[in-house]
Amino acid sequence: MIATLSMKVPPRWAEFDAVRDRSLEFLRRNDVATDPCIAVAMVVSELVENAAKYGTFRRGSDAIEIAVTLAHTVITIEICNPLGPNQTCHVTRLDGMIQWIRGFQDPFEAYLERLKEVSAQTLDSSESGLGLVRIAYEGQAVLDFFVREQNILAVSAVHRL
Amino acid sequence: MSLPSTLVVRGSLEANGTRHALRVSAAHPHSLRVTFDDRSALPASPTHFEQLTLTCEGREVQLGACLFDANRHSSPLGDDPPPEPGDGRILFQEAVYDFRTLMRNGRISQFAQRVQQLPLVLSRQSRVGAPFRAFVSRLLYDLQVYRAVFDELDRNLEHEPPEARERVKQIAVQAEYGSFCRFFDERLGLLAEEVRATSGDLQSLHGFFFRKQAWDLISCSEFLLRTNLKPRGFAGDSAMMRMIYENQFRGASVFSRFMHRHPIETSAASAVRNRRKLLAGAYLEAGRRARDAQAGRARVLSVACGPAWELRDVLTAPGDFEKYDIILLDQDAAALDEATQAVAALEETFGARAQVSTQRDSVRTMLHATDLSTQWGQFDLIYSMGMFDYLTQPVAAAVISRLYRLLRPGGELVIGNFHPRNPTRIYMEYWMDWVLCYRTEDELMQLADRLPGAIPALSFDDSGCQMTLRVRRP
Repeated sequence: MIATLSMKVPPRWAEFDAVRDRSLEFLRRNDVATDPCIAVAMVVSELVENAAKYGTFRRGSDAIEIAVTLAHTVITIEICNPLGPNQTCHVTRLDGMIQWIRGFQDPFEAYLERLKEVSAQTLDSSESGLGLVRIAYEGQAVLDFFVREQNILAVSAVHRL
Repeated sequence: MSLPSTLVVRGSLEANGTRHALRVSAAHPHSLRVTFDDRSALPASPTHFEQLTLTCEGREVQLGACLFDANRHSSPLGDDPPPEPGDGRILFQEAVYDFRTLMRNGRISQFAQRVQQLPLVLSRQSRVGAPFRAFVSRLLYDLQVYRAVFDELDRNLEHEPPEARERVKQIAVQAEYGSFCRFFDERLGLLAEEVRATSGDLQSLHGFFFRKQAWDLISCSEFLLRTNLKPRGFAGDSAMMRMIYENQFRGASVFSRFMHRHPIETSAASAVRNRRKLLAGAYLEAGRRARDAQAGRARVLSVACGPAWELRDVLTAPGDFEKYDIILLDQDAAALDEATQAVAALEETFGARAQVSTQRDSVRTMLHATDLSTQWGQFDLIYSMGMFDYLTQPVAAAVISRLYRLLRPGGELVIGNFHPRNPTRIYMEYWMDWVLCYRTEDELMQLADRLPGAIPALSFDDSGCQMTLRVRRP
């Protein structure tokens, strides 16, 4: 069985609860058990919030695109947002962060490391990456991304039931 | 705002109302080397300060009481070591700070935070069931008993002259390695059987628990230590690949040599070595196609090239250097350096110049460029043997689509990917902390589904665990 929920929302925080609720409803309607439903909804929320925080939405029509696909025992979440021309550092950092998280068999190890850094004193104002680690650890999802044409950042998370 | 890779960190030391402005010259794990702005009024050594304030990009952090200890030598004389950077070292007196990431990302943690995390780590074992605990205990008992025999040999050799010591170790390795492999392989088989029916998240937990117990066995092996620590931030770096290609004994003790060599003789490691022969054949075919089309040199792109060891099987005679125009792409500067050195060594050996250039980029971020073929041209051969094992299906599909568009008509895309039946999988995940994105035949073939006109073919290497997808553009 393959089913997909597609949504497109403006980068406004007031919209995000509805995205989470619709994702939950879609998964429940497709007989996904409660625990993975909650885990995947958390993953969707984290990725949408990241898209709003780090995306560059210059035109009124620029939006966050969300797709949640259930294919047999695999749930794939894909979130796309436009990037600005000067966001190379952000993308490079995201690249390193995702590869680092995925370097551990147990994402708990990444979670421990990131907790240490979050509680550290810092001269750096960029994001801690704790949200991405939560996706891997609590959401049990494998993260990945690429930057597609038109400078669109496409982040995906794959959760196996 | 993101920060550059090496930060400029400034600061000031304060004591009794006086301030000394400075910059951090080098960050050691638990101390700092500093250079004062006013070199004519350096503090005496040692001087106690009430606090150190560090600043960077408009942000500041305050660290506690510390001691300034000036450098003892201002210039090297005779056999003196080279001078230390800066005017001296700052040592902290009330807290142990960890500065390892200070110059990279501006973060300073305290050792006390690690101690505070201990309950979280300690409580993690409560989810590990009694059967797995008992299994790990038996397994590690066996291995520690085995190790103790060889550690005793090392101890007995301590007072022998270095040549005699090394000779005896080599004999012990030659005589006993085969027996160790049979012993260890049997234990790995038991581990695979024990975790066979375990779910994915429980496997992660078991792997974490297992590595904590087996850490001294893991850390005695140069290879296993590197796969676990991942010093470049990701698994499968070029140094690991080089160890696999070299396939030799390494280590001070006999047992550490066993533990280094064994994981690089697995099926998965053989599969890595098998890539060389396969790629040499793909180069030959690309060269032939370019020659038949009277297109001059065959244009080749290696994506995530690593140390590019396959070029040793490609550039094997002076004439080969005229056949190819090669771009080596990798995200890792160290890998590109190694590849460049390998090419230079081949050039020296054969007295010929290779047309090889390097490009540092991540495949995940380079795909947005709409004019990739304008930048790089088109290729007769594009290959990536060790990257798709790290890409999830959506990203792999996007990457293969872009690479396919960079092929010349008649050109070929060669993609490697490990199959889920990789017999080394449990060994890699539990002992090496090395996780791959495995694909079945269908999943790998699906990547070629949407490539217009593509002619895909799938094959397995001799190890039976690595697949190769070859896609020809008509």
